[in-house]
Amino acid sequence: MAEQQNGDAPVLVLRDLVKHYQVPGGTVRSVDGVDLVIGRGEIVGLVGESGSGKSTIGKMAVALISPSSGSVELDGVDLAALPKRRVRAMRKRFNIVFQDPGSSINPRTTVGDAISEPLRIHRIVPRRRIDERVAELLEQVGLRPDTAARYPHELSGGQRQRVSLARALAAGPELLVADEPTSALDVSVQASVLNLVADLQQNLGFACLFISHDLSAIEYLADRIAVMYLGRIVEVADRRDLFERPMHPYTDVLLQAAPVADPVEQRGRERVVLRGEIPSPMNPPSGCSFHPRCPLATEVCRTTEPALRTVQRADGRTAQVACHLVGDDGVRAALPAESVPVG
Amino acid sequence: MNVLEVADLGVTFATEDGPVVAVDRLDYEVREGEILAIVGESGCGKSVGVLSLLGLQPGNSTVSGRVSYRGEDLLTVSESRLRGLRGRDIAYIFQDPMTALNPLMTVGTQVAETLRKHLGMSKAAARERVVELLELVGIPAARERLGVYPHQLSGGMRQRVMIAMAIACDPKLLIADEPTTALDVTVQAGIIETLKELRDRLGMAIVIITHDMGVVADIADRVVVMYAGKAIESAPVVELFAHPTHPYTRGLLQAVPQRGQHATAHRLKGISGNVPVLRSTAVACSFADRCAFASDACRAVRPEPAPIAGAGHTVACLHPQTEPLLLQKGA
Amino acid sequence: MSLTTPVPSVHAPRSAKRSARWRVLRKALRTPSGIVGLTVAIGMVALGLLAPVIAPYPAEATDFGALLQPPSAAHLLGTDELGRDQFSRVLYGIGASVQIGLLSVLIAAIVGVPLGLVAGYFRRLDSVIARLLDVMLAFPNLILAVGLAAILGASAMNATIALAVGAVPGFARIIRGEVFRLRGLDFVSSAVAAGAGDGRVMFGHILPNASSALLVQITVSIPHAVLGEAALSFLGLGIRPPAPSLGTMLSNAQPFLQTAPWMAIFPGLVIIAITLAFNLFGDALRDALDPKGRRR
Repeated sequence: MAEQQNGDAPVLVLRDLVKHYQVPGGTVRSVDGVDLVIGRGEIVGLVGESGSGKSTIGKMAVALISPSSGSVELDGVDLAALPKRRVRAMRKRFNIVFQDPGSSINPRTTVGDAISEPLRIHRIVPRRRIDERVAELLEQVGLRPDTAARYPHELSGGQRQRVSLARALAAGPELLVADEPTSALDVSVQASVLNLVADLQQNLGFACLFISHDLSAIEYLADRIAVMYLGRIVEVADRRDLFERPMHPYTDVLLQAAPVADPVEQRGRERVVLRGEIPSPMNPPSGCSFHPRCPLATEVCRTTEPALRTVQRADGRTAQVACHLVGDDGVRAALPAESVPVG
Repeated sequence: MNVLEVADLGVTFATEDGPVVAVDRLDYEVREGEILAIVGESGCGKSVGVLSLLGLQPGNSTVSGRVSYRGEDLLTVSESRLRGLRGRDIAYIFQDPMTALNPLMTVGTQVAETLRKHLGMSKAAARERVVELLELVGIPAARERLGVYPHQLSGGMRQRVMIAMAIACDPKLLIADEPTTALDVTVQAGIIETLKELRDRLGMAIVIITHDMGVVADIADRVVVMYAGKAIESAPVVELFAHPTHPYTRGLLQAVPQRGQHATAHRLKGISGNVPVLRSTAVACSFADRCAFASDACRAVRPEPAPIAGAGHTVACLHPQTEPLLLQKGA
Repeated sequence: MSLTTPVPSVHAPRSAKRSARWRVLRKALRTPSGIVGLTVAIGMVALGLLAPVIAPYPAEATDFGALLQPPSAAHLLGTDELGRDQFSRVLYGIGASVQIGLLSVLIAAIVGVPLGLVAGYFRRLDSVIARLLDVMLAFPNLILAVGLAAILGASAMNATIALAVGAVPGFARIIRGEVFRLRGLDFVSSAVAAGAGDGRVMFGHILPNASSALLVQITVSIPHAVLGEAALSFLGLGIRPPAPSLGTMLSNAQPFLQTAPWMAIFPGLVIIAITLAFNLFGDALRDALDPKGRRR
C-alpha cells in the first residue's frame, strides 16, 4: 500500500480486486488482483491500453459492477460487501463521467433535469432551490444557465462532457472517476475539458481516478500514475518519476511508443517497438504477463509472477512496481538500444 | 515530379438542411515517394477530400475542380478507368480494417483475390506473393496466417493485412485515412514504422490523414493543415513545427499537453467555438470567428495560400504569427 | 458578408424541444406509404367513431321491402338478406373493429410492457418470463385467440381479451430487447451511479427511450387485432349478431356470394384498407426510426 503523505485516511482503497467474466470457452480475467489507494484530493491517473481492464476498475470503484473478489473501500467501508440499498445511499459520495458524450446523457431529458437528478435523489437541496443550484453548477462548468432548458442533442460533444461533469459533481462527491472523458473529443476541445477538470478539482478538492490511454492527458492532470497491463497494475509512481525514470519495461515501452509532437526530437528518439500484441485476457501468459513481449525477459519472468512491491528510489521517494528486474532502489537495466524488429 | 496534383477541389453535400460545403477550393500536391500528412480535426473535410479523388465520395455530393494523377484528370475519366486505377495505382487503407475486410473470407484468399483480379496472377503464384506481402508488412508466421479469418486477428494485425492488400499491386500512391486512430500506441508505433519502411523500400508516395500531431511529427515529410475544407497552411514537417504560422495550426499544437506540463503550472489553450458549417464557398476567413487575431479584413476577404519565409511554406492568413511558440519542454 | 452559419449549439432555437420525436414523425410522413397509411388510418378511425352521426340508418334496422338490394342512392352499399343498410352496418362495423383493435392492443401493451421491462432488467426473472413468452409464441396467435374465445364465450369483451393475450408476447419481447440495448448505454449506468433506484432507472430512463419502438409495435399490432376480430366474429366467436361487425358481415355474405356479392366485397375492402393503412404507417415509422435506413 502506498503511504499517505498527510496522515489523512485515503478516500478509496482497492484491495486485491478481481473481476473475472465467464464466457463460452473460458474465463476472461479482466481485472486480476489490483491494489490501489487514492488519497483525499489526489488525482491518480490510470493508464493502459485497450483490454487492460482499466475501465472495469473504474466501474468497480463506483459500484457499477461488483467485483468477483476483493474489496472496494470508500472511507473504510467496503462497497462490495454492502447491501444494494446502503450502496445507493452512499452514491452521493462518488460518481463517474464516461467517455462517449453521445450516449452518457439521457436523450429524453433536459440538461437541467440531468444535472438535478442527483440533487433530487439524495435530497441535497430543497426542491425550490434546485433550479438555482443547477444554474450554479452550469456556471461552474463554464456553461450559460439557460443551457438547463436544452436537450443533449442540441449541444456539442465538449458541452455535453461539461454537462456530465456538472451532473457527476452535483451531489458534491469526494471521489470522481473520469473514464476517458476527453478521448472522444477533438484536440482543441480536449484542452478545455482537461483545464476544466483541473479547475474543478482545485476548487472542490475531490479525489479523482482519471482513466485514459492518452499519456499526455494523464501527465497533465495526475499527481500519481498507475500503469495497467493485462488486468494488473505493473507500476505506480509519482507523475514526474514515472515519466522521467520509468521502472517497469512496459511503462518504458509505452512512453517511447507515444510520439512527441516535434519532428526533430521524435526522429532522434530511441524506440523499442514491441513484439506481438497484448495477449488475450482469457489466456494470460505464465509468470509475468508481459514476458512474451519484454525485451529483457529472463527465466524467472517466465515462471514466477512478480508481485507489486514498494521500492525506494535514490531521491527517497517511494513507488511500486511489479517486475523481477527492478532492484529495491527502483533501478533496472536499460532496454536494448537497438529497436526490436517487428515480428 | 508530382504523383498527384489537386487544384481547386470542391465537394458539396446536398443535405436535408441545404447544401454543405465539405471541401472548399482545396489545393495540394503529392510528390513521388513522399509522405504527406493531411492534418485537421473532425469535420474539416480531410477524409472526403481524399475519397473524392477516386470517385468514392458519398452519393449525395458533387465534386468540382481538377485532380491530376500523373497528368490524367481523375474527375473527368470514365468510371471503368477509375475502377482500374483504384487498388492498382492508388490504394486506400481506412481507420477500421474490420469493415473493409470480408469477414467470411480467409486473409490469404482476400489478399490473393486482389492480385488475381488486378494482375491476373495464377492461384499458386498469388499465394506465394501473399506470403511475401504479409511478411513485408510485418505479420509474423505469415504462411500459417493465410487460413485465418479477420476476426481471429487483433486490430493491429488486421490493419497490417489491409496494408498488405493495399500494396499488393505496387501502387504509386497509398492513401491512409487515420490508419492508427483505432489502435493502441504501442501498436500504432509498429504500423508507423511499417509504413515508413514500405515507402523506403517500394518508393510509393503516401498520403496519411490524421488528427494527431505526434503521428505527423513521426512520419510526415510534408504537412497540409486543413480547416473547414481548405488547406490553411502547408510546409515541410520540420519547418511547420519550428515555425507554425497560422493561428489554427498554432492552436492545434498548443492544445495538447507537452511532456512535463502539469495543470498546476500550465494552462492549455483550447480553441473556443466550433468548426463552421459552410453553406457555400467561403468569401472570408472561416477561422475568423474563433481567432484571437482576427480583424475586420479577415471577415471581408478570403485569405489565399501565399508563400512566406521558409522553404516551401505557405499559409492562408492575413495575420500570420511569427513569434516562436512557447511549448515548454522537459521541466 | 459571412456565408457561414455556426454549428447548431447552445444558440439553437428553443423550438428543438421534443424535436427528436417529431423529426421521426415528419420523416415517416415524407414517404408516400407513411402519409397514405396515416391518412387512411385516421380516416377509418374517424368513420368508425362518427358512425352514429353519419350512418343513414340504424345498424340493426331491417327493411323487408328492400332485401338484397344492390348499391343505390338510397343504400350506398346495398342491403343484406334482412334488408339492413350495408353502408350503415359497415360504418358501425368499423367502429366495433377499431374499438376492439385499439382496446386489445392497449391491454396487451399494459401487460406486455412491464413484463418486458422486468424481464430485461432483472436477469434472474428473465429466464422464467422468456420461457413463458416462448410457450405463448409457440401457439399461432389466431389459434390462441380462438381457443380463448371459445373457452370464455362469444362476446366483444371476450374477443378483446383473447386478442390482447395473443399480443402480449410481442410487446414484452420488443421492450425486453430495448431494455437490453439501452441497459448497455452510458446514460443508464450514469443514472445508477447517481443513485437512482430500479424504478427510476426503468421508468425514468429506459422506458422513455423505448417509447419509439413501443409506438411502432402498437401501430403494427392494431391491424393484427382488427384482422383477428374479423376472424373471431366470422367464426361466431366475437361480436354477437345482430350487432354489426365486419367479420359477421362477411360470414353472413357467404351464401349470397353469387347473388349479392356487394355484401362481401365492401366489408372485405374495408378490412383490407384498415389493415393496410396501419401496416404502411407502421413500416414508415419503423424505417424513419432506423438510423441505418437513413437515406441520403
